[in-house]
Amino acid sequence: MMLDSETTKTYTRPISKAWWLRDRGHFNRRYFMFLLRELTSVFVALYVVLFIYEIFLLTKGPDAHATFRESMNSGPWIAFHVIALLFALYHSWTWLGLTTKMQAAGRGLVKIGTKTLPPIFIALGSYGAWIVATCVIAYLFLTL
Amino acid sequence: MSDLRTIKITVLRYRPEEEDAPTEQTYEVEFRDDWVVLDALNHIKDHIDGTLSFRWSCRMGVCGSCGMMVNGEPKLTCAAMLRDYYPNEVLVEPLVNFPIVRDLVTDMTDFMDKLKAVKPWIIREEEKPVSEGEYLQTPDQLKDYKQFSQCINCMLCYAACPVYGLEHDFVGPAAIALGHRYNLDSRDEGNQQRQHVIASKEGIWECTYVGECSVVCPKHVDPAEAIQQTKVATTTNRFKSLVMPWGNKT
Repeated sequence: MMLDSETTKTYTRPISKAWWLRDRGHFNRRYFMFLLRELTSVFVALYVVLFIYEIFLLTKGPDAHATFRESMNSGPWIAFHVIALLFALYHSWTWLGLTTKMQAAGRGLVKIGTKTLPPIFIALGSYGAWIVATCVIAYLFLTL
Repeated sequence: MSDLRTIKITVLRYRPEEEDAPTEQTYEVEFRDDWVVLDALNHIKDHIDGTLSFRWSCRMGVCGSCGMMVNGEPKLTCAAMLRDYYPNEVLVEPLVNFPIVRDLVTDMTDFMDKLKAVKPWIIREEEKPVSEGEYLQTPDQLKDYKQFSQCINCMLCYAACPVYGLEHDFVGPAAIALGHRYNLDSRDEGNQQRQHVIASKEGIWECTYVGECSVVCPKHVDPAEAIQQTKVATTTNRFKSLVMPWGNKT
């Protein structure tokens, strides 16, 4: 039904600021997990700022950097790093899982001839590349 | 009849000539085991309160008219069995994220405008004469888009999408899925004409992948999949046009 907005008195319901927590009296786990995924960006951003600051301290000499590393051993900073790691893992896992969406059975984007490559290959490729990249970076950090 | 049970149905009512905001009204309805929420609403209208307004048509999950919020979830009321809610009360509201016209009837103008904007029909650069026959298609080509063609425009996905609720400029799940359906059709040549709507900021890039549109879709269209596929295809095409500006930009 197309309406004449000049003459029709409609009512638009406001959206609660807590829609992601309880939507009209009902808890929706998917809304909550979505907001949690959005929140991961905050922790990743904070970690990046901290990391850049650490690199900056390297330019100030070994003592400045050693003092910084020492301060990171306190409980609150360890807690922050653990939380940031968990959020980064959650974000990466869900983001890479999303790549299978482009490859639903029978109508995917990646094809071999006329056959669609099964989504499991996309998932394995994404997660595999992630794990390999993580191992390479970890190796470089721990050995160099 | 011995199998009759009584259930409380609370309906969000809005009578613009009488009130400035919606109010709730509760009815007690005797129902049989095979009744759906839409049956209860029709029973109320026919036997208890003839002033209740709502949309419905086919009663079989095809027309997409009877979409409403049932206990907070977007549902086709013709497919929501009362026995699944009994003995609890059922709350029926109009689809959220749309202005309410009266009771359970919403204004769908915004959706219709967006649907039209993605040009959900086959576009040919040049029509061939009828004498040359049909535009043929193989089963594999049909498979590419068939799922997206199942959309019945019920708008449950718009009610489920918090992005659309918060950003009304968002083209939205169903319209993008239908545009994608025609972009995937081997007979169609209108991809470029749809891109400025689908691949815009208000199109696929507004979607932050909540995924609820696909969860509530009664026809398993999976609009979230259409949007993610379009994101990948658009990015790939943009990249191709950058590194091979002389190539095909479709």
